[in-house]
Amino acid sequence: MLIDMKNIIRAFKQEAWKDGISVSNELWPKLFEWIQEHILSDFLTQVTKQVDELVDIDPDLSEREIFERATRYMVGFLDAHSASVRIYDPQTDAFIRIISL
Amino acid sequence: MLIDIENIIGAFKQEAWKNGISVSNELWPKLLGWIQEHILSDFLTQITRQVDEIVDIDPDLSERKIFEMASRYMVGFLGAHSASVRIYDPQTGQMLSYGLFPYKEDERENVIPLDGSIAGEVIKSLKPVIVPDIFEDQRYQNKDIIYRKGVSSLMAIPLDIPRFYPRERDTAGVIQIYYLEKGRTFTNLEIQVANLMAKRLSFVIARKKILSMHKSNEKKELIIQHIFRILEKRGGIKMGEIFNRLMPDLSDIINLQSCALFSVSRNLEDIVLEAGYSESEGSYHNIGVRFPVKSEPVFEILLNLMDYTGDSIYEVVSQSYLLVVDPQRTELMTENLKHFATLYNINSILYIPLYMDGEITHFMTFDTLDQRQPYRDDEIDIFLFLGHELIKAQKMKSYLNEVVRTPLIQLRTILMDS
Repeated sequence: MLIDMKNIIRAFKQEAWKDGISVSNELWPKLFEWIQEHILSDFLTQVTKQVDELVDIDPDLSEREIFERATRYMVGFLDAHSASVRIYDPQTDAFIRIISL
Repeated sequence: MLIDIENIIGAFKQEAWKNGISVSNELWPKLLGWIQEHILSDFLTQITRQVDEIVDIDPDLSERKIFEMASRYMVGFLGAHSASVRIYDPQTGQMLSYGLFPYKEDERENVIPLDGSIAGEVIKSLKPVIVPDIFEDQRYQNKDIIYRKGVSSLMAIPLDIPRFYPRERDTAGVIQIYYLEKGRTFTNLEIQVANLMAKRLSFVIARKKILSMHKSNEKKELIIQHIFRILEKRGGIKMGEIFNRLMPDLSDIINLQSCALFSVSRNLEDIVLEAGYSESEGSYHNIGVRFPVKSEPVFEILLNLMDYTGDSIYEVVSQSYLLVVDPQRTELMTENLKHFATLYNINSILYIPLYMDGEITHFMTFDTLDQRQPYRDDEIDIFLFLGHELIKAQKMKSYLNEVVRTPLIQLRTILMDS
């Protein structure tokens, strides 16, 4: 099994029970299957697609451009406002800003 | 948001309602938070860890070992029984066994055909093939192995390793993951995870190629240094002497078992064995022996006196080299030379012609002995480089001789005139 879903569902059941939410026992196997087939599958498709976009960045670009593209993808995927990349320079013992989006 | 969970939950609500399952409305927001906080996070941690295990496989291992380790990780993570890797060999048009986990000699079929096999179908379509019951599937031809393994179902996942050098072609293969259960239902998620892991395997192979390129450059650098050292010490030495002095030094750097240098007569009728390595006891290099070029088809093809029209898998004929993969099965050698190869346990012979001003003046041979496989592409690349450098050294030697000679001639002319 890819992840211990039964354990996770058991913990969720207890949580729901503690909050006084009543749930029919028939729901759990269905929910279990639904999460695997729909949520995890969609989630993995999305994550893989985004990671592939990073991996497929043209290696002929300059390092700065590669970082710029990677940062742009990450900002988009994570719904962020902006991002910056800094690289540690052991000679100056300081972080050098490569890009800022 | 990474995925639209609210929408998915909405669909599930309807499904539950249709099935008459009563659910309190308070459950849904709680479930939404729970999935995001616990399930997705745990799932991503697991997947990342497994993919990292594959990507972190030691690239110094052989390709076969790398595939075996990847198979082991996939079997463990996907709760499978076993897995095997097959790579398509464009030369033979067959699928070669390239790793098995757990390894059992009697559960391995070395070669299977591309056409009509499950692995072949995956290679052609580049899509996974699911077989819930192997015994019922005609495409799985050797059922004996399946009985011995005790497995009943499988998923076959494409393995696509993009080419690294421009002259290479992409490597196509398949990972077959076996399960004990008959009629097993494979979930989309399982197929997706197997695909993802197989895809990331190409990173390891890419790292392996980068390392191999680095090592190859180091070897080339050492070859140049050795040649220069020889030229520095003595001027006016012959190609055979350079070869003799160079090869013992190079045997520590490159995988040399037995090699020789032949010179070619100007009229292309004879060849002479000029130098050989190694000259240990039992060596078969009789220096100075002359052979007519017409005595062996392989010499005639190498010297461009005969066209190569065959397409045998037992030889590779290219513009820069000729490789006899199996001396006993090639048609480029006479029975005489085949007998010689058997006598000295020669398993393959690589011929590299050396061109001086557009003419083949010499050629080198590299034999593999014992049970060793023919030289690999990266090894052949080093030998080709060695050939170029030997020719350069020879040209440099001629140039230096010319430079040394010129003032003496001029001096003599001056003296005669006076």
